[in-house]
Amino acid sequence: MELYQTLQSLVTSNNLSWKFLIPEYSLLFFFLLGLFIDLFFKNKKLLTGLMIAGISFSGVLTFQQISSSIEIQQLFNGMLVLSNKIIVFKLLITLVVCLFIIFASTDDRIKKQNTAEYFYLAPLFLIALNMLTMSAHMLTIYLSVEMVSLFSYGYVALSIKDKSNAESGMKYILFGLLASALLLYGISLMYGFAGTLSLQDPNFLAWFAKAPMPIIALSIGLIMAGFLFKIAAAPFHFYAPDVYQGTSATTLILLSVAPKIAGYALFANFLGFFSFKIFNQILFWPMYNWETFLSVIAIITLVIGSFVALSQTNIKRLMAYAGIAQSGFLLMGLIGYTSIGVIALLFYLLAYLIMNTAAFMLISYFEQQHEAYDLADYKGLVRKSPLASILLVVVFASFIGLPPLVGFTGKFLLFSASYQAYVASANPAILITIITAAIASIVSLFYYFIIIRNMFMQEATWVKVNKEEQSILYFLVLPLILAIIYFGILPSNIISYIQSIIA
Amino acid sequence: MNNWLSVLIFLPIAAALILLLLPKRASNVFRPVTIVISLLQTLIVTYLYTQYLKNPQGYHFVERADWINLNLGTFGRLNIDYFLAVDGLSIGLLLLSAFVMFIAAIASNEIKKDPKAYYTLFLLLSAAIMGVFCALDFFLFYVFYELMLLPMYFLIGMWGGPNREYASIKFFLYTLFGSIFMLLVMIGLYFSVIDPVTGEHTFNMLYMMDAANYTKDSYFSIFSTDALLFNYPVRFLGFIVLFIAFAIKIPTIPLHTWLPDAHVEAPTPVSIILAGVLLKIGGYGIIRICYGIFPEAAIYFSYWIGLIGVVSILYGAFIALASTDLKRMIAYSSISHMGFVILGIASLTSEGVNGAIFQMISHGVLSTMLFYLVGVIYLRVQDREIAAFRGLAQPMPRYTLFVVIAFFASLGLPGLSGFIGEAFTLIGAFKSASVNALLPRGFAILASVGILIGAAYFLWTLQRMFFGAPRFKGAQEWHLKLKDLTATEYLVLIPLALITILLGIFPSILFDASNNTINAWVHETWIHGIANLKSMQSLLKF
Repeated sequence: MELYQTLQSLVTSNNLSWKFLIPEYSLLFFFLLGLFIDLFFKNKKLLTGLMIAGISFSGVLTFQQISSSIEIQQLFNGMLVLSNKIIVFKLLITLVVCLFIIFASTDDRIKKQNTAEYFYLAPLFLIALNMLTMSAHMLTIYLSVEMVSLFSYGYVALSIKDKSNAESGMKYILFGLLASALLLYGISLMYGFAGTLSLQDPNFLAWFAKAPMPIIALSIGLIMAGFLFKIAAAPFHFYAPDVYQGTSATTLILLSVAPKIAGYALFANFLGFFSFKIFNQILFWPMYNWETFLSVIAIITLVIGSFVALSQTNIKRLMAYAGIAQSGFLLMGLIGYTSIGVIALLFYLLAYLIMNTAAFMLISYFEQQHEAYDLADYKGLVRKSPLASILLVVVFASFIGLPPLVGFTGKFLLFSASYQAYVASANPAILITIITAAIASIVSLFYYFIIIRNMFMQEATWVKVNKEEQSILYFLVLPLILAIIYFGILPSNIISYIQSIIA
Repeated sequence: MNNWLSVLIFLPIAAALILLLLPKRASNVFRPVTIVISLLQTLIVTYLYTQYLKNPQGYHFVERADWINLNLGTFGRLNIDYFLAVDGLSIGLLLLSAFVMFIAAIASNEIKKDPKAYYTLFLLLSAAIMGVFCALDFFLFYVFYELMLLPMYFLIGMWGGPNREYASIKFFLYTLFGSIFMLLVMIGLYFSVIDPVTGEHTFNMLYMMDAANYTKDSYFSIFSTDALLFNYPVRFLGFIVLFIAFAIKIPTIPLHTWLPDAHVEAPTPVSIILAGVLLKIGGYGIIRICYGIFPEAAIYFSYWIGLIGVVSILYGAFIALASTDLKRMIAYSSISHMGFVILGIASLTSEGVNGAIFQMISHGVLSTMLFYLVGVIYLRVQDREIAAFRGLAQPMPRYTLFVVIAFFASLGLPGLSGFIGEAFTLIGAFKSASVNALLPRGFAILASVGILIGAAYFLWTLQRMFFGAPRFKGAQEWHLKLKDLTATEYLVLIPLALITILLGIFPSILFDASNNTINAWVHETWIHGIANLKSMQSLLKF
């Protein structure tokens, strides 16, 4: 009888849960449709059009899930959760994937390779990313981390052209395997002592806190390793430069941002479930203070990212290190885990998404039009593509955080959030993070402007004039640039909206 | 119409957008449009100036609107206002800026490469400069302050001399270094200050200046009992950070090294803007923001600030004496002259601060003239080594006349504008010992030595370059090239020379506008500073 009731409750709750995954079903449907079209019609245009439509459609469906209450929905007995905050993360990811597919459909190199997978895998990748943002159980976390990694490997492999670049794919896989092994080991340790894998289990913290301190430290450290890998934060950032260098800039539009956003969503959720304020109180162990821990990670990430970026000669390696430094900035939103911190994080993710997408679109544009891969290839580019060069200046200025661009507003919010966290806790590590971030901003000026200097102030070393295909700049990049300026000057509406639905 | 200041800011932005849309072929339109826009700005500011003189106190032409207004839940609201106004401190500098931009636009006839990009950036820079002097919301001020960097970087970097890449990034890095840390202090202040009307945090500078608006236990409150960072009062650190940011801009020793590089590499009109306007933002920032918000720290550190001023005066003068490049010499003389500004401010006397503002405006006009004069010969022979010229007075007598006016005004000849500024700052510095005991008398004496060295390098340069029998490095070829002034050059130089003489004879033109504001400012800074200092010393026991 008891079993029957349990089963029944399972079924009814599952019946409820299914409908929250509607966007994912639609993505699955479009993936199958894409597979079908590729098999029987071989029509690239139709395929890409459908994929763009499908992803946008799932975006609309996700948007409709925004509910009036801020309560967290438990799905599948707490395996997944859904809240407005998570929906915002999902919308950001959907936006990236959508922009990526639109841009990729114009990339001739992909057309020539005849790889339809490149397009119909995108919905599947999006499902994986969505699952990652919704995970609330160590098992689903592990599964979705693996799923995201698999598709990332796939995309790297699809855009590799020659054998020398295969090294980067291999490195990615090896590092990824290491990170997931560490994650899995951390999870099993945690399971062994907490007796449950569900982060929402009321007994989870109490039991887990009874474990010996070194074990707690080890298991959380190992789990963190897996997370840090996803957001490309130090000391698990090593794969990023190699992978970036070997992968086409078009693919990087997707790979540089989408997993990162999902990683931050996961990180934010995880910290939320851990309710680390309480955790700090139970353990009362200064070394395992989350604020200090995250601050230290942020500091290392900022320092490594920005200072190593200075010495790069390849544009994508430089962007990889710059991306690592940006990860450090984003971590500032999680320190203290205040409500303003989460808003700052979400807003900066939006800003980062726009800037990064625009940057890689332009880098890909320069790759396609002028075969520019190294910083030296950027010399005198303004003579050949004035519009694209000027757009890149705006993007980089925004990355550095110059007003009145969105990067400045985002950094301003992150600094404010960290300042609040510092005032609340008086933890000197946070103050050091803030100062490091300020210095990293100054350093970022230097490496971004190496590129700008090459483009604007030096003469071209080689002469090869391709006929410029400018429509992509007007239709895709220019709107992003306008968004950078618009959200920089008038951020109120979007922030108020996010604020209104998540808190 | 009551939004003249917005017009002033957005007129050049609108013009820049129009220029962007024009085709590249229309290259002969860009300069006239820019000249007309900057002339319009100058006329508007002149009108505002005359209006201001009718009732020269308090804030005029106030514009205030909500800009960014966010509800951050438990953290209250994020309020950023679009808040513009001018007072006696800024109206004179605003007038100077508009005028210098106008002169720079005329002087831009030497720019032949990419006129579209040049004039678009020029107009953008103009908008940012106007904004800096009008903004009374710290956030807004910061936005305009940073907005100047990118256009300036490209103006130096794309149209500059052989070493322009180095000079432009150095300028950018130095300024950004100061301003990023300024941002941190700004955030700290924001979370400490409460708008007394709405009870929300605010970026309003005027509220930041009143100690009563700080929440009691915030880091920047004077009533806080634990606002120490590394065992040092947080307010003092805030002052130091802001002071460094503006000291880089002025620039003072030892943060000055970007300036000579930037000047030597920049094309003439950009040098004019740099010396004529951008350096003044440093002085303005110190008076308005550093001293305004942290009066007690200003009093506490006044000795050191005065010392920095004196060292800048002497160091700048000595290096100018040793310079072999005429433009570099003038760049260092700028550092020396801006040292007087710092000294005047540090004295915290009415004479000193009025003199500092006068000196800024006078130096703005004079450095515009000096850099333009250097540009005149550089344009003819692409050389500006002092040793390369001798007896210039013979082929270019009229040019020499203007050089003599500019040099004599700069070295402080009575009857010309430079004298008034330096004299007043010195009087202030001298008087300080007896009025408020902030600066020792020795500072004023050392600063007068600076004037003496100034006279030495200006007169020596005059003698070396202009007098004697003509002998040029380029021999006969240069004799042909070194023609006397053209019509455009007269158009630039005559008004500048007239203003120098006018200000020298009737300094009240400027003092009438600044005097009331500055007297009140000195009084309040002193009263509040002493009160705050006492309170902090008793609470923090440092």
